[in-house]
Amino acid sequence: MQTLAVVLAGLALSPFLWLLLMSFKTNAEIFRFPPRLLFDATLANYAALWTSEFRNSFSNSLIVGVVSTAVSLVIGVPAAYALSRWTSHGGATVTLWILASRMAPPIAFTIP
Amino acid sequence: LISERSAGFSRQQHRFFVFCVAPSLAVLALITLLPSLYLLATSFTPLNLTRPETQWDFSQPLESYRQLLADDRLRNSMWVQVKLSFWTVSLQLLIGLGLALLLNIKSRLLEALRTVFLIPMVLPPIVVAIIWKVIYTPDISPMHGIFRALGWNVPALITDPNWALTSIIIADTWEWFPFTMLMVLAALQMLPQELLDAAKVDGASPWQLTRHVTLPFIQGVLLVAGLFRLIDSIKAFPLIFILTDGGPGNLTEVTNYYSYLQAFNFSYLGFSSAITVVLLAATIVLSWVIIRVVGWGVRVD
Repeated sequence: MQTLAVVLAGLALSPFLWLLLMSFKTNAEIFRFPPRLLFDATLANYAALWTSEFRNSFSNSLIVGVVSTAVSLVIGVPAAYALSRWTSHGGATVTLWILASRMAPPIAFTIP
Repeated sequence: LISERSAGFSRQQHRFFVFCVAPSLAVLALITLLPSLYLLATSFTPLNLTRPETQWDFSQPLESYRQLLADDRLRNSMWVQVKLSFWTVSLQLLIGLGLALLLNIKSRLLEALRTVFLIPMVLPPIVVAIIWKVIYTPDISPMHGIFRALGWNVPALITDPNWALTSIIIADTWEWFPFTMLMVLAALQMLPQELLDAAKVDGASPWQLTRHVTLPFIQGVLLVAGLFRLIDSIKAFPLIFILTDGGPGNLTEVTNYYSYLQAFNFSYLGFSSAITVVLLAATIVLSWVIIRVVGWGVRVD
């Protein structure tokens, strides 16, 4: 049972592991056939990140992530507290609609 | 006197609750309700980005909906959507259920493996799409490498009419089977040991245990997980956008993607809004079903 689980985990993860391997390869190595298991790993791709637009986009991601988390905590925590204590019918209905709004397809909000 | 005071307290408490919930509702109204209303209004106009005067033209409000009924491409996209949803949801439920049953055995190793299986779900959608783009690109794909080593001549799956949708289904299943696995696993942990012990005392085989004790216990969770995945499958976008672009032809063009094309490639915002209103209505109905199934409305005293 355990061996089966390990094999399945390896199989399920292999697409991701391949991406990880590719990140350490040079372009020539990526196109090599058949691929070598032991190749000269290079960190050039990672080094290149710091001279590319990546630095900028990554800091944007960090800012968006931190700020939106903070704002949603400030707005959401009081609401969550109130809704958990609010035992009347109104509370349940509000909770329901807040959850339902999470299920709408994003395209509905991109057109406007 | 006491009842009067408690009524005052309850009114005060009520006011405090409203004060706490109001900001959330205001934000939600701003980012979901208003755009939805705008969307509905737009769907009644023939809005075309190249002709600004069409923006508030309500002279033929149902024109877009009439075209929608006659649109073969839309019908095709809905059929593609049905196929995609059916296969991804079924496969995710089956794989998720199987893995959850396998991983539910008490062991340190298996507990550690649970985390490993969750990785596909927590990767950003774009990363998932890039991973599968690599796998489906013959020159650099390990999968095509294996096929070549075996001497099989396999075409590039995402550009092959017979395989394009299947390749999307495989990628989507890979991305989301951890979700169903996680939900089933959580339900399995709640399964009372006494039930299993009682059945064992009665001489039930492992297969009978699964079939008659475990499965009935988790069928509710399976239903809810399936419905959640169904709603999410209607929102499929990044995989299709990166892998096939709706092609070849429009074999992998789901309704969501078709709506995007109408709006941003062809500039028919009015028509696209009508499609989106229909999609939105479908998801609202599905959400309502979920909520009835889960029974949030019942928890009222």
